[in-house]
Amino acid sequence: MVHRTTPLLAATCALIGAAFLPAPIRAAPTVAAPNAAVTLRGDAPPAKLFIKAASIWTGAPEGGKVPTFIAPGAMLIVDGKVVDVGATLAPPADATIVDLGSAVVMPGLVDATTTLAGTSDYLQNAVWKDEAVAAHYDPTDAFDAWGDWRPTLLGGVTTVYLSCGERRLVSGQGAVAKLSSRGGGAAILARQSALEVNLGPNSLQPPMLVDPPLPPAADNPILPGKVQLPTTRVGQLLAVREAFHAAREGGPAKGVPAAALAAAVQARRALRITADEAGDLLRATQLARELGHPAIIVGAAEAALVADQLAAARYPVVIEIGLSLARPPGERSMDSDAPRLHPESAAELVRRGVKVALATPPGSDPAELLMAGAVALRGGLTTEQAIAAITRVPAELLGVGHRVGCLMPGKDADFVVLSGQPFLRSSHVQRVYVEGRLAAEAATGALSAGASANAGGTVVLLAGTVLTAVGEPIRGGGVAILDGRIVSVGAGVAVPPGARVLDLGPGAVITPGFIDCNSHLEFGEDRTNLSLDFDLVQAIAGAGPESIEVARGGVTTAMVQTWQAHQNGSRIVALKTAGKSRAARVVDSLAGVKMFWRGPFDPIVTADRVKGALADGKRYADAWTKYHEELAKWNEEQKKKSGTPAEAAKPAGDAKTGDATETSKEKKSDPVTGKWDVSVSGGPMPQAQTGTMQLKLDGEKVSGSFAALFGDEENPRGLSGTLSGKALTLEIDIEMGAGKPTITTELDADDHMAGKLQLGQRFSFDFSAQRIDKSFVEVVTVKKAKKAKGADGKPEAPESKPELEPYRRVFAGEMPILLECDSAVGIHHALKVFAEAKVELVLLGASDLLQLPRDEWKSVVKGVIVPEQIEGMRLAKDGITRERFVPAVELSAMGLPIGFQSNGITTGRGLALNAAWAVRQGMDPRAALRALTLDPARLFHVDDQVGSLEAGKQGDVLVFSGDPFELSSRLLKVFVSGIEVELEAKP
Amino acid sequence: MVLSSHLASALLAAVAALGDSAAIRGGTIVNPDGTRIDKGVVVIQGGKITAVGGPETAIPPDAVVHEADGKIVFPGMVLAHTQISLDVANENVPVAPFVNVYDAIEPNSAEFEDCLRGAIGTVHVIQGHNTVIGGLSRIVRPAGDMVDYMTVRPDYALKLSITPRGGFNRMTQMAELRAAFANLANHIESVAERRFEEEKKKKDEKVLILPEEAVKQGMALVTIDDLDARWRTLWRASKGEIPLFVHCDRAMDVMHGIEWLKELKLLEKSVFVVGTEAFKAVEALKTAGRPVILSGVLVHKESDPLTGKVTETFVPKVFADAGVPFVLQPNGFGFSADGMLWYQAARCVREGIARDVALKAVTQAAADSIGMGDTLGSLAVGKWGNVAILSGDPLDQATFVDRMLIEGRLAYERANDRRLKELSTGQDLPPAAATAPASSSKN
Repeated sequence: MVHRTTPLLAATCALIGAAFLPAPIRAAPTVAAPNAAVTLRGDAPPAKLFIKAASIWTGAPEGGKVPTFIAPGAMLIVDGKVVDVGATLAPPADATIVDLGSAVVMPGLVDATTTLAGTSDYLQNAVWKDEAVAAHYDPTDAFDAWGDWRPTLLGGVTTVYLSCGERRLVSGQGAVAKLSSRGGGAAILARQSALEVNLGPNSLQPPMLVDPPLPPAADNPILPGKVQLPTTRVGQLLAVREAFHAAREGGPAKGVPAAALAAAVQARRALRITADEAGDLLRATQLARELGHPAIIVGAAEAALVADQLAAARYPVVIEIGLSLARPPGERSMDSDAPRLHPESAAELVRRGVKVALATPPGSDPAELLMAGAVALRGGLTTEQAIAAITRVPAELLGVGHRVGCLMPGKDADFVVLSGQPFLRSSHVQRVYVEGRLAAEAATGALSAGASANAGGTVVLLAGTVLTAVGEPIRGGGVAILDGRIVSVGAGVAVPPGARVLDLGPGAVITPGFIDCNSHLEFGEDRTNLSLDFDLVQAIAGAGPESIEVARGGVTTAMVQTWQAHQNGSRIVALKTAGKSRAARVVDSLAGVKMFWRGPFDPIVTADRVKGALADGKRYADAWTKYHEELAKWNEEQKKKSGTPAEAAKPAGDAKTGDATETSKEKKSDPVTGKWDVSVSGGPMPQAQTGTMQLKLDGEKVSGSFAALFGDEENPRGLSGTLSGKALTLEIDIEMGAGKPTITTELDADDHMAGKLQLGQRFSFDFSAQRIDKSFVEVVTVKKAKKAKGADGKPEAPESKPELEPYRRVFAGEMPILLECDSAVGIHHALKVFAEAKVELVLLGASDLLQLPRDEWKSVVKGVIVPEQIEGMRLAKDGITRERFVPAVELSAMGLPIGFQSNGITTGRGLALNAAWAVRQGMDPRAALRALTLDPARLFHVDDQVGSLEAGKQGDVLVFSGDPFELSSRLLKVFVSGIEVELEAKP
Repeated sequence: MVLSSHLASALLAAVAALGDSAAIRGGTIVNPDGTRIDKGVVVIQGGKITAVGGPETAIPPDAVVHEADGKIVFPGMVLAHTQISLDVANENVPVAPFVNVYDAIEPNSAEFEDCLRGAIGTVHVIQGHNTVIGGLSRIVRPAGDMVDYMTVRPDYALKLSITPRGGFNRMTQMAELRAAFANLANHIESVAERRFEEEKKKKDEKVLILPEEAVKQGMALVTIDDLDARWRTLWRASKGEIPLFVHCDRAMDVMHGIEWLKELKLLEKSVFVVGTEAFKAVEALKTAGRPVILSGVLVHKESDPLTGKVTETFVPKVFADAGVPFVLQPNGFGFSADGMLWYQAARCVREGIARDVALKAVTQAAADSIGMGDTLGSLAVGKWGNVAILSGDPLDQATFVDRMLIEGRLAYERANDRRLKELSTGQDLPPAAATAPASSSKN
C-alpha cells in the first residue's frame, strides 16, 4: 500500500465537503460516509457501496462493453451486486464510499479444482463394498459452511469447485461453492455440477470389491473380494464405457452408485475428465466425444505436447498448476513417469483458441491460485488472459458465470483488493469482499489507519535507483527491512506477505543512511574535555529533538565526541540519531579515541604528551596481551595436567614455583603451632569433611592456613585469630555471603581442639582438630596468590585501568585514533609518532595534509575527516597568492577514504549538502556517497552494522526524490534501524 | 459383583412384592423446576407416585416408610445416552442396524452401581458414535442381574452418525447413509413384488400387471416377518417407528443431518447427539426443535487460523442463551469429576446458567430426550417413583446419595454399600446376605 495522498482521495474530500481529513493522509483507505469517517468492518454490508481504487481489473471479455482494465477505477455496488464500474463514476449521495487508495481491485478468483470438502477416496480400514464407479458421491455432503475460510479467501479465492478427488474412476459429482468468512455464509452455488471421470495413474488399482454377508453364516460365508476395473489404462476406458452403457440401456439400476450414474447420464451431465499425461489427454478427448456429453478436460499438465489435438477437440481445459509450494500435478502419484509442470501449456492452448482456466491441483492450497496465474503469465499468457483464466473462464466452465467471475453490472460483487498489480510478487491480497461484504482482511492491518512502519513488521522501499554504497547502482529495486535490519536489497527485493510496501516511483533514489564523523550531539554546549575513563554511553538516552532534527537531514549515525579531546584522549561513540532507548541507539560504545595535536606552537610538548599517552596505552595493552597469551598457555597446560593426576596431586609446597612458598620451621613448640587434621561435621552436611590446617602462634595472635571444607591442600585459605587461655577464635579468610566463617574452639586436650565452625547466622558445624605435626609450614593461601603468580602457576590479570582501557582496542587494531590536527608541521610530527606506535590513524580536519608529500603519509593515514567547511584557502604554488581548494575533492582523488563532519550539535542535518557541495566542486559522486556512508563506517570499524545497503546491516535507509547530490533533490523518507523518522512535524 | 447381586436380589424381592406401597417422609422435596416442599411426603404405589405433598399427606398404612429428615428428596436423574456396561462401544460393520445392545449389556457392571451412587435412576444404553448406522438401544434401570428384568424400554432407538466413522470421510459417510436407506427402499420394493406374486399365486391368479404396479400393490402386503434381521430395524426406523439418535460432531454435520433427515421425513423422530463445535448451529437446532444431547466435554476450544488465538466457549451456555433445551452427559463415566452427571449440571450453574435449566438437563430434559418425559424427570403424581434421597443439595459436591428408590423400591442404600465400605475401611467384607433395608420401618 502506498501511503500518500491520491488525487482520488482529494476528490473524495472535495466531494464530501465538510468532511475532515487530517493532512498528510498517511494511510489509505479512508472510509468516509457523509459527515463521518467510519471504518467498514463487521457483517452488515452497506446497501450501496462505492469503491474507489487506483485500478480495477474487471475480468470482462476483451473487446466487450466493459473494459478489462480501468484506471483509476470506481465501482458501485448495490445489495451485493455490481451496478456500475468505470473510471468516471460519481458516487450516489447515500453510498458508503470506500477509497482503497493505490490498491488494485480484481474479481474474486474462481478455483476450478479444490478438495475443500474432502475427497471420495476409497474407505480405509473398513471391509465394505467400495466401487470404482461411484457417481453418487456429493461434496455438498461434506462441505463445511461453518468453516473459517479466511486463509483461502486471503489468497483471493472466493468461489471454488468442490471436487471429489481423483482416486476413483468415477469419483462423484462435484459442486460449486462460494466462500465467505464464517458462520454459514458460505453457499453452494451449484450441486451436481459435473460428473467426474479420472483417467491416468491416480484411479488405477481400486480395492477388491467386498460385499460382506450380514450376518455371515455357514451357508452365507464371507467370500474373497472381486477384482474390479480399472487395473490398467485400457481398463479405464472400458470400465467407463461399460458403466455408461449400463446406465443407458441396462434397465432399472441396481445399487446406489449405478442409480446415481444413470441419473447423471440421463441428465447428460457435463463430464469433468481429469488427465495429465499427453496420452491420457488424448484418451480423455476420445472418451468425451464417444460419450457425447459436454465435457471439460482437467489437469492437463502435458497439454502443450498435444496442444493441436486438444484444440481440434474443442473441449475447454482446466490446467492445474501446482507450485513447488505444494506438489506439482505430476508428483501426485508415485509414478516415476509422471508428467512435469509445463508453464507454457496455458499459452499454447489459448493461442489455439482453447478456452483455458487455471486451477490448483487437488489437495493443494487454493490460495496459490494467484501464483498459478503468474506461472501461466511466465508461460506466455497476457495479463488479461491470465486474469480471465482464474476468474471469468473457470466461472463459465463451472456454470456459474452468470453470478461470478467478472466485475460487470449484474454480477455478484466478489472482489479482491491487492496492494499492487495482480501478478507482481510484491502484491498481496489485503481485503476480500464477497457480495459487497468484507469477508476477510489481511491480519497485518496494512490498510488500517493506525498502521505505519513504527508498528514493526517488514517495510519494503521501492525506487528507481538503489545506491548501496557497495557495487554498482541498482536500477529499479528496493530494500526490505525487517525488525530493524536489512533483509534484502536489489532489483528483486523480497516482499513478504503483510509487508508495508512504499513505492516511491522511478525517479526516487535509495541510499544508505549517512554518517557524521564528528558530532557533538548529546553534549549540547557542554565543552568539557572528558577523559578516556569517562564512558560517554552513560550519558545517552533516547533520541531527543536535536537528534531527530539531525536524522531528518539524513544522518542516521553520528560519531559522537567531545568538542575538545582530553589531553590523553577522549572516547568516541557511534550513535544512532533516532531510537527510543540507549540500547537502540548505540552502535558501538567505543568506536575510536579522539586526540589532538595542537600546533604549531609547542610541537615538542605535544609530541611528548602524545608519545607518553601512546606509550602508557601500549604498555597497558601489551600487559593484557601477554596476560591473555599466558593464560591461554596455562589453560593448555592445565588441560594436559588433568590427564596426569599424579602431578596435580603434588602438595603446594612442592609447586614448581618454589619461590612463591617459604618454609620455616619453628623450633619451639607451643599448644597451637603446627599442622592439624581437621574434621567438620554436622549442620547440613551429610558426612564429615576432613582436611588440614596450619597454625602459627605469635603471642596471642594466631595465623595460618585452612584446607578443609573451604579450599584444599593446593589452594588453602588464609586463617587468622586469637588465643585466649584455651579458647581459640579463628576467622577463615574467605568472603561468603554471610560474612567470613569463624571457628570458636577450645583446646580440650593436648594436641586436640573441639568447637564450632559458624557460617553466618544460619549454619553451625561441629569442628574438631588433632595436631599431627608441631612444625609450621607456611603455605601460600589463595588470597596471597593474587599478588604474585598463583601457587598453581595461573597467570594473574594486570590491574584494570579505565583510562587506558580504550588503548587495548586501539592497539589491537579494532578502532582508530581520530587525531585533530590542523597544520602541516603538526601533521608531519604526528605522523612520525603514530607510525612508530603502529596504530590506525584517522585525521580530523587536516586539510594541510595536502601540503605534505604523499609518500610521507600514505602508509600511516587511514583516512581523513574533511573540515566542515568544504572549501578552504591555501597558499598557491607561487607562494604569494592564496587559492580556494576543496580538500575532499583532492584527497578522495588520491584514493584516500574520506568522511564528512558537522562539528556541531544539529548542524549534522546539513551534512548531505556538504557532500553535494563537494560533488559540485568536482568530487566523484560515488566517492562522495561512500564518504557519507561506507568509508567512515570502515574507518571506525562499524561497517558490520552500518554504512551500506546489505542484508544483515541495520535498516538505515534514505530515499531521495532524485540524485542525492542534486541540490533540488528532496529527502522523501528516512529510516533509522527500520523505524521511519517523520520528516515533518505532525499538525 | 456381589453387591450387584445383592441389589438385584433386593430388587427381585421387591418385584415379587409389586403392588406394595412406599413413602418417603420428612425430607425437603426438590423438583428441577425449583419448587420445594419442606417436610414433604412422596407416596409411591405400584411403582408410580400417587401423592406428593406436605407433612399432612396421607401415607397408606401398608407403605414402607423411608424417613428422610434433613435430607433432600430429588427425582432420579436420567442418563440419556451412554455406552456404560458395553464391553465394546461400537460394531465393526459400518451399517449394522441388526445389532442390539441387549446382547452386550453387562448387568453386573460396576458402572450401574455408580449410577445409583450418582442418583441416576434410568439409563439409556446405546452404541457409540463410530458407526454409520448402529444398532438398537435399550433403556434400563441400573439395577438387576438380568437385562430383561432391568429393561424399561427394549429396542428403543437407533444410532446414526453424520460425522464420519473411522476410515470414512464426510462424503463417504453421507453417501453410505443415503445408500443404506436407498438399498432398503430397493429391497422393500423387491419384497413387495414378491409378496404380490405370492398372494396372486395363493389365489391361483395370474400376474397380469407391470412390475412397477406389482410393487405398488404389494407394498401393503409387506410385513415385518417378510424381512430378515438386516432390514427389519431399518425398515421400522424408516417408517418412523424407532427414534433416531443422530451423532453430529460439528456444526456442519448438524446442518447436513437436519437436511437429510427432513428428506427422509424422520426429523421428528430424531435426537441430536452433538459435539462441542455444534453450538455454532444452535439456531438450526432451535428451529428443528428436537432434543439435543451435548457432549460430555462442555468447553469448545478453537484457534483462529490466521492469528492462532485460542477462544473457549462454554457450550451449554450458548444453548441456554438461545433458549434451546439441552441434555447433559458425563464426560467419560465416573473416572473424574466431570464423569459425574450432577457435576456437569453444577458446572453449568457456575458458568451462569439458570439452576432450573441445569437441573432439568439431567432430569426432565433428559427424560424428554428418551421419550419418557411423562414418566420420569420430576417428582409428580403419575410419574414413576424414581427417587434419590440426598444428604444435601443435588449440585453440592459434598452431597452424597443416601438412598435411591427405583419405582418405589429401595435400590441403593449408602449404609449398606459394601464396596464403599471396603474402599473406606480397606477391608474385604464378607458378602452380605439379602436383607431388608435397615432404615425403613412400618408405619
